[in-house]
Formats: sequence, C-alpha cells, structure tokens
Amino acid sequence: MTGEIRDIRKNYGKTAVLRGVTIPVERGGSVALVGANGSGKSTLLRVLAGVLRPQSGEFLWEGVDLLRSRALLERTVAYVPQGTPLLEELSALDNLRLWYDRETLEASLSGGMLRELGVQEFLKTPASRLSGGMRKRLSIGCAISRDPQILLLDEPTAALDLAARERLLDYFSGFCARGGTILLATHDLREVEACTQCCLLSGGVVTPYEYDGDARRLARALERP
Amino acid sequence: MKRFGTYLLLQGKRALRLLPRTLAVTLLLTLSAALILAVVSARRASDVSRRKTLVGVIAMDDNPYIMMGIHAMETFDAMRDEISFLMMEEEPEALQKLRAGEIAAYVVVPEGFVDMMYTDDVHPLRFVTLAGVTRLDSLLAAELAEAVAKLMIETQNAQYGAIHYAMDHVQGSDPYEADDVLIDRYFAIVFDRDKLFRLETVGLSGELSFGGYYLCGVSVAFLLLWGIGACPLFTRRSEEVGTLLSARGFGAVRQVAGEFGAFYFLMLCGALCAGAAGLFLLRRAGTAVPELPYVPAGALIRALAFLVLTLGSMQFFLYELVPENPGGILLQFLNAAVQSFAAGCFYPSSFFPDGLRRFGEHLPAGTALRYLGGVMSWSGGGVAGMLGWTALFLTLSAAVRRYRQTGRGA
Amino acid sequence: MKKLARFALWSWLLTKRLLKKPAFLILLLCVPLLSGAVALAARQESGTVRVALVCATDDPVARRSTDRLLHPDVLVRCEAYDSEAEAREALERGTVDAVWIFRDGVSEELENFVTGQRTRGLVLVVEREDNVFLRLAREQLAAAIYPEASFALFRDHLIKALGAPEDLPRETLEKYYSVDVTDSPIIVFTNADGSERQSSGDLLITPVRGLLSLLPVLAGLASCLYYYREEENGVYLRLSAGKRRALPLLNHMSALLPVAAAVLAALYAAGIATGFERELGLLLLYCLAVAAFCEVLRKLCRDESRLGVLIPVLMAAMLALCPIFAQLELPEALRRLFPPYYYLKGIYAGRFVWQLALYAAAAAALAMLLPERETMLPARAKREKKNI
Repeated sequence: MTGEIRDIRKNYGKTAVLRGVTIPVERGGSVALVGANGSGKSTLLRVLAGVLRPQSGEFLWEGVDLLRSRALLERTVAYVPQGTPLLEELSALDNLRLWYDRETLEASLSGGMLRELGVQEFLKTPASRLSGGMRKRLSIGCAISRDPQILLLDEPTAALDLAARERLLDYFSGFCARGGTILLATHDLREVEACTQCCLLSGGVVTPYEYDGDARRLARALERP
Repeated sequence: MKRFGTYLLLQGKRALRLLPRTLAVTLLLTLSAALILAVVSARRASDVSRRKTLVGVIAMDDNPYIMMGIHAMETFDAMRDEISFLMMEEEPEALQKLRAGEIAAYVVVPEGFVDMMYTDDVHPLRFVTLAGVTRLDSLLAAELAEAVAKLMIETQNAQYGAIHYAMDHVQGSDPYEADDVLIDRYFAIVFDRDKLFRLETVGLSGELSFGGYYLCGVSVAFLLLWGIGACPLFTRRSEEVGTLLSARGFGAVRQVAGEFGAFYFLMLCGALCAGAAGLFLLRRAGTAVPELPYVPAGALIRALAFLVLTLGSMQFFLYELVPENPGGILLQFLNAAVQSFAAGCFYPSSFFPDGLRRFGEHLPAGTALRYLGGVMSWSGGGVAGMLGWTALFLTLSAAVRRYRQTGRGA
Repeated sequence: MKKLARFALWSWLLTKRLLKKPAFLILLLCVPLLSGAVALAARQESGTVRVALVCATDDPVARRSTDRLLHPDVLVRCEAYDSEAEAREALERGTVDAVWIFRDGVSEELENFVTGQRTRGLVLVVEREDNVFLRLAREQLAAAIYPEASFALFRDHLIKALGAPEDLPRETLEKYYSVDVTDSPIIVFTNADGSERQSSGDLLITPVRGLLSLLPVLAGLASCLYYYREEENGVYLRLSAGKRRALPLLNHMSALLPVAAAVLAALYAAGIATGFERELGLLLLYCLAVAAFCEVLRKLCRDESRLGVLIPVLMAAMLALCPIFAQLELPEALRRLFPPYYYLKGIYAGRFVWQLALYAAAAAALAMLLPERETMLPARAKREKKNI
C-alpha cells in the first residue's frame, strides 16, 4: 500500500458530511468512488485536493501526510473539478500557457501527456467555443502541468459523447500504467469497470465494493443505509 | 398567462434573495446621507462654527480704490454668506495655501492695476485656482472680483476727471482739495449700490426652488446608481434557461416581462425605503426644500414608482446588452454618470450651453428629472415621456434577448 | 527571472481575456470620447442666470445700461424682451430666472441716488426666489448701471464742489470724465502653475477628472465580482497557496490597467492633463491603491451579492466625500477612507502622493492579513448540505 486516505472527517456547520472516510490507495491503481447525489464525493475530493480543510484525518502518501505538507500536496496531487473551469475568453493554448512554462508545454504537446489528450487539435480555439469533450480534455491538460502522481477527478466523463469518453478512459489507463494513481468520483459504470477498486460512499462513510457488472446490485447497495 | 405568473413568481424569488441586503444597504446609505446633511446644515446654521469659502487677496498696490474694492467685495450681499476674503502679503504664501486646500482661489491685484487701465500697459487682476478645479464658489468670487474691479476703475476715472477740471477751471485752489469729499461720496454709492434697484419676489408659482431642484437631481442620480447594485441578479443569470424556455414557447417578450417585473419590485422596494427614510430625516433636519411640506406622500410614492419604472427599464436594457462583468457594471456607471451630468443632476442645467441642455432634457434622466420636478412643484408631471422610454427599453430588451437566443442558433 | 516571466505572462493573459470582451473594449474607447465631448461642449457659450431685460423707456441712462447688459457674460445671460408682460410670463414659465425692467424716470431716480436722497430704484428686479446666483446677477446689474451713477456723481461734484455751471454741456463733462480705458480684460484666469485658462466652461470640465477617478474603482470592484465567480468555479485551484494569495491583486490590476489607460486618454481629450509622466506615475500608484482597496472589500464581503449591493453605496459615498463636484464640510477621516481622495488631491499637492503610497501599502497589508474564505461558497455549501 503506497498510501492511505485515513479517517477523513468533514462538517458543514453542524452537519457531518464525512464521518471518517478511509480508503487505501496504491501507486498505479485507480479508485472509483460511487455514491448517491449529495453523498459527499465532491467534498472528499476537495478535501484531498487541499481546497477544503477537514476536521480531522490524513492523506498519507509514501509515509507523508499530504494534508500537512502544502507544497508536497500541490506537487503530488492534481484536481479536476466537476465542470470545466477555464478562462473562457482565452484560447486553449493561452489557457495552457497559464499552467505550463514554454519548454514543458512544447514538449508535452509534441510527444507528452497533452499530445495523448489530443489538445493540439484545438489550440487556437477560444475556450468558450470548445465542445464538452474538448473542454474536459483541456481542463485535465491544465491540471497535469506539474506531472502529478495522483489525479483526483470529479465525474470526468459526464456529458461526454462515447468517443470522447473512451479517449479519456484510455488516457486514464495510460496514466495508471505509468505509475500514476487516480481517484475518481463517478456515476458512470464504464468508469467503475475501468478502475481497479470501487468504494461506496454512503452516510459519510466508505465501504469497499466488488463491482461485478451488475448495475442493479450496485444501485441497491447504494440505497442501503 | 399561468406560466407567465409562475415565471414572474420565480424571478421574484430570485430578486427576494437580494432584497434583505438591498434594503439594509439602502437604509445605511440613506441614514448616512441624512446624517451628513444634518451635520452640514447644523454647521451652516451656526455663525461661529461655519466655514465659508476662503479666497485670498494679495494687493500689491496701495491705491485707496483697491481697499475700497476689497471692502465692497466683503460687504457684497450675495457673497457675504458664502465667501470670506483673506488678505495676504505674498503670492508664495497664497500658492501654498491654495495647494493645501486652505483657500479655494486667490486674487492678485498687481501694482498699478487701476492706473494702468488707462494705458496700453495693462496689469489685469489675476484670479488663480488649481488647474482643472474650478469650484462654483470660486467662479462666483471671480465674477464678483470682475464686477467690483469695474466699479473701481470708473471711480478713479471720475477722480482724475475732477482733478483735471479743477486744474483747468478752478483758479487759485488746490485741485486735490475736493478729492476727499469725492472719494467719500463714491464710497457711499458703492456701498449703497443695492439701492439702484427695487426687488420684487413673486414666489415659485409652479417652478422649483433651488433646494427642490437639487433634491430632484440627487434622487434621479441615486436611482441611476442604484441599478449597479442589482448586478448579481443579471451577471449570474443562465442564458441556457432562457433558450430552453423559448424552445417551449415561452419567448423573449414574456421572459423579459417576468424578469423586469422582479427587477422592478426589487428596485422599488429599495427606492421606497430610501425615499421614506430620506424624507423623514430631511424634515427633521429642517433642510431647505420649500416644496416638500406641500407634496402629498401619495404623489411622491406614485412619482417614485414611475421613476423606478423608467430608469429601471433603462438599466435592465443595459444589463441585457452587456450582462457580463466587468463590462456590465462599467456600462451602468458610465450611463449613470453621463446621464446625471447631462440632465443637470449635479449642476443646474442652466449652466450648460443650449445644445447640451436640450440634449440632457431629452435623455431618460432628463425626462425623469422634469417629471419629478413637475410633481414637486405641482405644475403637472406628465408621464407620457416616462412611459415612452419604458416601452422603448423593454422592447429593445426583448429584441436583444430574442437575437441572443435565436441568432446563436441555440 | 523565470518567476518574473511567469508573473508577466499571467498579467498579460489575465488582461488579454478582458480585452477580448468587445463590450469592455468599446466602453474603454467611449471614455475618452465622452470626455472629449464634454470639453467641446464646455467651449460653447453658456450662462447660469437667464435674465429677461425690458427697457420700457427712451431714457438715455436706461438705454446705455441695457446695452452694456446685453453683452455676453459667463454667469449671466440677458435677453431683450419687448414688454414687461412677456417677460413676467417667461419668468412664470421658468424660461428666465429673473426680469429686470427699466421704466420711465430712470435719470431722475439716478439723480436722487447720487445725491443721497430717497430713491425708488432705477430698475425693477423681479425674481421667483432669492439665491446666490441671482444675488450675483444683481451685482452684475449694479456694475452695468454704475458708470451712469459714477458719471452723474462726477457731474454733481463738479457743480457743487468745483462751482461748475449747472448747464455745463455733456460733451465737456465727457471730455474730462471719459478717458481711454483699455479694452483689454480686467481680469485674467490662471492656473496655479501659471498657465492661462478659459473661465467659461470650467464648471463643465471640473468634475471630469473626479468622475474619471471613479472608473478604476468600479473596474476593481467589478473584477472582484469576476474573481468570486472564477474562484467558485475552481479556475485557480491549481495554483499553489502562496501564489493564490497574490493572485487577486494581480487579477484586479489586470482590469485596472486598461481602464487607467482609458482614463489617461480621457484626461488628454478633456484638456486637463498636467503632464505625461506625472499623470502616468500617479495613475499607476492610484491603480495599486485601488487594487488593494478592492481586495480588502473582497475579503470583507466574501460573496458576490454582498459586494454587488455595496457598489452603489460606495459610488455614492465617493461622489459625496471626494472632491469631485464640491467640497462638502464632512469629516476628513471619512474622506481618507477612499483612494480617489488622495489621487485628486495628489495632482496638485505632492504630499498627497506620498499619502497615496502609504494608503496603498496599508491597504495591501490589511488585505494580506484578512483571512481568505474557504473556496466553497456558503451558498454552495448549503446546497451540498441539503443534498446529503
């Protein structure tokens, strides 16, 4: 076990959203986090990304609690939120230039991760005019500028067409094959299938789940208190 | 109709979320403004603590007419309540005080000012202010200085004439002997110059007092600025929802009507709140708006309703035109500033050249100002112009909305 | 060097995205155009007090006085009316502010005046109310009649004190009284730096700089609203915590700098710029102060709707407190809360430039000290809470 998300607790006011979430993570592994709407998936990802502060808990990675080491967290983890937060008026290239230095950008576009994502196809287009799939690819491209080891993705393939979805899933596989770790919040069964681990988040706690392709069984498991 | 009612209600709910804050801020603003007015009024009422505008005077000439002129300016009825003259020795001192804001302007009476008026080597009065800053009171002081200077020149004219006549026609006597008598007589008519006319005041009779005019101006300017506060309603709005509604037959016109209804409700609540608080406090502070006690509350409320309708529809249209930040807010402010200025909310429009005055009168803010002035002075505030502008802006808003929804192929 | 380059790149890209908004660009272009329009309007003839002048007599004193009054003046504009009734009607309608009527017997009344006897006045002045402008206009009236009074007094003095005959011809009197008084202006208007200026139209131009000074503040506040939205959408989540601290100020400056450029152009268009380096330097310092001021407000307000509702209050407060239209008698401490005060004073007095720099530093320090809210907006958190 390379790392562990250990006993994360998060409240909004008096309401406990996360009541001690624990998930083991492995290098090169991928975890699908499944839960009903409003179960706290996005909250968990935001906590792990350092955006929200938990009441308690640790995010251990190679023996270091990333939540207590800001600089390491920022180098190790990349977070891609739901939606596609881009500067709409700027082109795809300008959006990338915000996050990459020139040399890294050129290298990545010519043969690196950005090429794998396929963003070179629409570099000059303003972000506001990109399709959903392109925006998502661009958003991920912006997130991975620091060559992170861990990717946190919130519903990455939501509202994408089949081809775009498959392209992204291929990218995620490649990322894990190169030793990266993915934790993604999802409702998509295809994504669940593609991951090495599945966890159910319900009532503020996480339970491991063996997904066998039976969607109904999964749905029933989510409904159980 | 039912769908429209539902849409109006939903938009109203959106606006209601802003209402508590809007009302709180409106009250805060009105109370602060009224408090400031009360403090200023109290200060002006007290002779001791009152501060008039100071204008420096540097007299480099010891000609007695200079002192006469300065005394004349100081006793000048129009300026007595507004301006005080401060005698100074040197120009550097005056310049320093001017830059520090201690005086509004200064006048330099150069050596030989009066005498040289009869030669080609003219040494005119110099009226000095800061570049780009001409306050109204300092401009009035300049006018006064010029008027009094003319008096001084005429008086010296007469003095020289009498001396030369005496030299030519009065044998064996000192031509300057009668000079003192002449100067005394001139001093007397200078200080009694208000007897040159008889004053008849006919009363306002359908026109606004100065204070009334400014109350109307400030009210219109306030409403124009107020629209900026509604920006969260407009800049957060989802255009996709509108497109979807259009696709289901709930078109641009009804959407605009529903949203404007909510906006109007929000603005009217804020304006009524501000208006009520402001009027109450103005009356308590005894601020000089002679018309106010005679205008019924109902008339003022109705006037406010029409004002918010017209100015609100204009602001709504501008938000429709430029809904995003920062352009939307900048546009609202530019519109408010330009219209308030041109319509005469900050300075009386009579200050302006004819062309600008006519232009300002026909702007929505100018129409609103004239309407409110008519209500205040009981000379009849016709609403036709107000309704005309409202109809125009709402029509344009619907047109822009429709273009956005269909023009983009949404 | 690399950090500087990144900083410059971010600055440029944040500014570029605003410049790509057509509406923003058009508005920036409008600013100097409007300013130039005001300058053009200011050059035309205008007057504050409109007076209906009625000369209902052939009296020579009245005729000469009205001739003087019909020359254009900065604050008083006289128009000749044929009859008293017409003039009074114009007053009633509000077309004029006052009516000045010369009736028969002007010369006799003048004689009474100069000899110290009771007089009914030479002119009937009819007004609706008494105010400072009308009082000044009456002073102009007095100045127009005064040469007649002065001449009459001169004649009386010659007769009574110097024994001149009562039937002394007017030509003789004029020979002694009339001297070539210069046609040159009696008064010239200058700026504190010695440059000359036009007196008329200044009141139109005067508030231009003050109003322009509000534009950067508004742009800064608008950029705060913009920043709230982007923050909520997570655009800047990828930034390190340290960089994210400085980002808001950079964000505000990206809006302020183009607006400052428009303001500079507008100052030149209005003809009130004092010097390029001076104006540019002061504007840049002002932008820093405004950015810091807006950042303090952004942290205090914490959300878009609070700040949005506060904007008109701030604008109204600055209009009242800063020296834009008039210097109201208000506590200095209140004025000093707002950056335009220092900027507008700093144009003419160097010490306010230093105070502006101090203000910028203090506001920036305060902004850094104020805590940042959690990125999840309270409203969004409430939505999430409801869904749990």
